[in-house]
This record gives sequence, C-alpha cells and structure tokens, in this order.
Amino acid sequence: MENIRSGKTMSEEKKRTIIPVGPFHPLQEEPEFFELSVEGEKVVDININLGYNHRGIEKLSEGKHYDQVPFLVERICGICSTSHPMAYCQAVEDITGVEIPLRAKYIRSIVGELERLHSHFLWVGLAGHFLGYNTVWMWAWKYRETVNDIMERLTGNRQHYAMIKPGGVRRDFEDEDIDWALKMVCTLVKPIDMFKGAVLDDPVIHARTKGVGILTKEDAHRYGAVGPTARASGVPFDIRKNHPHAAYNLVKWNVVVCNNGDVFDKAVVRILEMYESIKIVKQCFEMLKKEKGEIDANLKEIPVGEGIGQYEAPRGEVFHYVKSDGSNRPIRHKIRAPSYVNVPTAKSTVIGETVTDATLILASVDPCYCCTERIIVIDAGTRKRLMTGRDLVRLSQEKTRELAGRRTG
Amino acid sequence: MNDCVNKIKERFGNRLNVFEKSAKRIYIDVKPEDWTEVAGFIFNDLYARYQIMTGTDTKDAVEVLLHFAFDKDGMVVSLRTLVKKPGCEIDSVANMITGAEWIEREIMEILGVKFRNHPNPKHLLLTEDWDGKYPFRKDNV
Repeated sequence: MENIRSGKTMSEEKKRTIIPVGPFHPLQEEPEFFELSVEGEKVVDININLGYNHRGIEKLSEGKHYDQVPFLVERICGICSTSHPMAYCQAVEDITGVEIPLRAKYIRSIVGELERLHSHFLWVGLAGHFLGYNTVWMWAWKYRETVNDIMERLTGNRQHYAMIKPGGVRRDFEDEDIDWALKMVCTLVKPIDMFKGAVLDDPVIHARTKGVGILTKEDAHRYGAVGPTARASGVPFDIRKNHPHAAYNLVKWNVVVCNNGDVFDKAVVRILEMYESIKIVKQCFEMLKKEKGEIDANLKEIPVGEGIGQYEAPRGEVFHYVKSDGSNRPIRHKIRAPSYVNVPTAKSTVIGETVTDATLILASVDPCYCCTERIIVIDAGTRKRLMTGRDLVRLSQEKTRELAGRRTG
Repeated sequence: MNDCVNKIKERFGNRLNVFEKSAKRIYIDVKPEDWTEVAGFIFNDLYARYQIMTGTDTKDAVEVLLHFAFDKDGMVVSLRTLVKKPGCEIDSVANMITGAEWIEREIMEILGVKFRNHPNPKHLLLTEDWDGKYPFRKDNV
C-alpha cells in the first residue's frame, strides 16, 4: 500500500511523525506553515506551505501612479521598509536613465544602513530569544531603540520612513540633526562589541549553532540564496558592492564573508556587518556636511520601457522589475523579496537535523516581521492628543497588576 | 560587449537575439524550444546567479522573463520568451535551478503558463480548489 500524497509505503509512513510548525506559531510572527516529518528526533522531510497572507501588492501597484508606489512597497515589510522603495526607484531610474543628485545618494545610503543596523539588532535579539538567552534579547532591543530614535529625528518616523522617491529623496537632513545623529551612531559601537563577545565567545552558543543547518556553497547557488544567508556559505556577493548604487561606491567598507554555512556563521556575518554599516553611515554623514545641493532630480514623465532595480536589504537582495507603457502607472511590477529565495533553502539545511535545531535553522535566514507597535490616541475632530506615552505605560502597568492579581487570587 | 554575453552569443549564434539596454542590463530573446538549454548554459556553465522569473500577460501570449545576475560584472541578463496562448506551455527549469520551483508554481497559477516536467506542480499561493481563473491575466479583470 502506498500513500498517494507522499509516495511512501505504509511501513515507512508509520515510523514517521508529522510536527507542524505554523501556520501560526509563537516562534514566527508571520503565518507560514512548515510541516516537519520526523523519525524519532531526526527531521527526514520538510514541506513548506505559504499563501496565508498574500496581499497582492504587485497587482495593487498597477493601480498606483509612479510616485505613489514607494508608499505601497514600503509596506511589504516593516523591518526592511526602505529596501523595497530603494529597489523600485532604481528600477524606475533604470527606465529613464536618470542619475540622482549626489546629496540624495548619501541620504539613501544613510537611511539604508541605519535600517540594516536596527534589523540586525532585532535579529540578534530574536536569535538570543530562540536559544533561551532572553538577556541578549532585551539588551539587543534596547540598543535598537537608539537606531529608531535616530530615524525618528532624521526622517520623522521610526519605521516606514517614506524617504525614497524616484529621482532622489523626499526630505533633506538638517545640519544640527546630522551632528546629533553622528554622536548617537558612535555610541552603538560599544554595545555591538558586547554582543560580539556575548554571542561569539559563548561555549553554549557554539554548541547549539556550530555545524548546525549547513548550507553548502553549491546549494546556495542552486537555490539562488542571497544576503547573509549566502555570504555565510562563502558566496562573496553583496549588491551594494557588486551592483553599485546610492553612495556605496563612494565610501570605504568591506563585504563580510564566512565559509562554513552554519547557523553560527550566519550570526557572525550579521554581527560583523553592523560595524560596516556604522562605517558607511559615519562617512556619509561627514560627506553630507560638505556636499550641499539638490536632493531630487525631478522626474516627470516615465517613458516606454522596462527597468530592473536591486538593493541589498538586511536579509539579502531585493529585486524589482518595472515595465512602463508611457502612462503614469506601471503595467507590470514584479517584486522578489529575499525570503522568497532564502526560505526554500530550509529543504537542504533542516533535513537530517534534530527537531530542537529545526526552528533555530528556520529562523537563521531571518524571515521577516513587522513592528510599528506605538500609538498616539487623538481626537479626530480637534486633533488634540488624548493620551500621552506616560498614560500608556500606566495602562500597561495596571494591566500587569491585574493579571498578577488574577494569578495569585 | 561583456565577455559572458559574447560567450552566450558564440554558443547559440543567431538562435537568439541580444539587446543591450545598457552596459549593465542585457535582454536576450529566446525561442521557447531553446529556453532550458540557454538557461542551463548561463546557470551551469557561466555560473550566473539565478534571481527570479517575471511573467507578464500580453494579448496573444504570456511573456516570461528569467533574470540572472553576473555579480562580478554588476550585470543583469534577462532571458525573454513568449509563451503562446491558448496552449501556453514551456519546459520547466526547476529541475536544474531548484530555486525556481516556487516562482514557476506561482506563474502557473496566476498566469496559466504550464511548465512541463515541473517537479511539484501544486498551487503556491492559491488554494488547491481555486476556480481555475488566472488572476494576473488581463482579460480576467
């Protein structure tokens, strides 16, 4: 007798247990369904199902004009929210052949790198959380706040900065903000040193992550893996270096590459990349002080044609293809986020490992989440603020007390 | 012209049509029957990085693009072919390029292109009992 779905015989099937991870699972904030087939502790097969939260953004984009699309694609992801507009705008600029002003290039790189910093802080925290190191989690997210504060002052928003537009950037930075931001960025080096020590020299982390979930160089090629996932496997490409754009070829920095392809190396790549991001941001800020001038090339008409834009998001290459028929809206807008090619690599990294390591390996490609959990309560008519941050803290403290009371009572 | 592009031209001669939009963006028109052979040469022999595929509906055919990056040269090479309606069939590259499995499944269900010999031709985003309409076909809107 054979199971039609799996193609396995009954006796083979009996030995196997299916462990579902998802579609809704505490360790993953997005709905995605990993169906692990296990024999004892060992994972022997994995089946990935998606489509639980498809938003049809490519289709929506065909109904927006070129200047509206950045706001739409920004909302693909709350973490790498500047990466999609960056790639999209480069695709549009590829159609028109326009060169953006120098000052805009520096601003684009600064926003991009600050985003990478907060994204990697987030991942370091989550990785700590997955391993049971909640102190690492709390500390990493504490320093991530600094980056969000810098973003808020420079762009007006903690996430969804709305800075990138076809032809340049939407807002300029003030000189006094630059000095302040530069100082704040420098304060991050010490915490990163601390994480480097805490994560990379810890024997327990070594035991849990070294040699676990290895993605070979050949498999990285077969799957088209991108970003830190590929660079940890010794594939030395980084869109910022190989396909120069923004200000990445105007400043000095290095591509971080490791060779083992395991979870540990993926962590190493991300942590060391944070130093490079700080290097880039510092140089760009310095250049901004000297380089005054326009921030927008004022694109008007988008001619008939097609264009491709790429950007190295924190999780790897974001790819946008835009086709224009000369009207004010794209007739086709193809988007490929990095997780689309990184998540399938689980097929080669999870099989053969134990169940306990499986979720860690799945998380090691850094599949992405959204976080803009901050609210202001206002009266819609008078625009008056009804609740302050302090009120919200008080509310949450009351809630905690209430929950604690329920437990003891 | 770039070395890799010259190699592609040398190997396939007038079976394909190379259009150089700029030094970094090359588009190559390929006949559907040459699709997997050209893709295989670029992916395996020239060791280009597979990026993704794009499907676009046109009146009589579905245009399929297969994008490859030559990272050392900072160049993107896109193969282009027209898959004629109503049959709309073309060979799958997913047996060779594992990463293309998902996107081929996606193009199958949203644009109705049938990829022959696909290793796992299930729906990716839509439910298995979808009504059979293709959401990205222009005549469906």
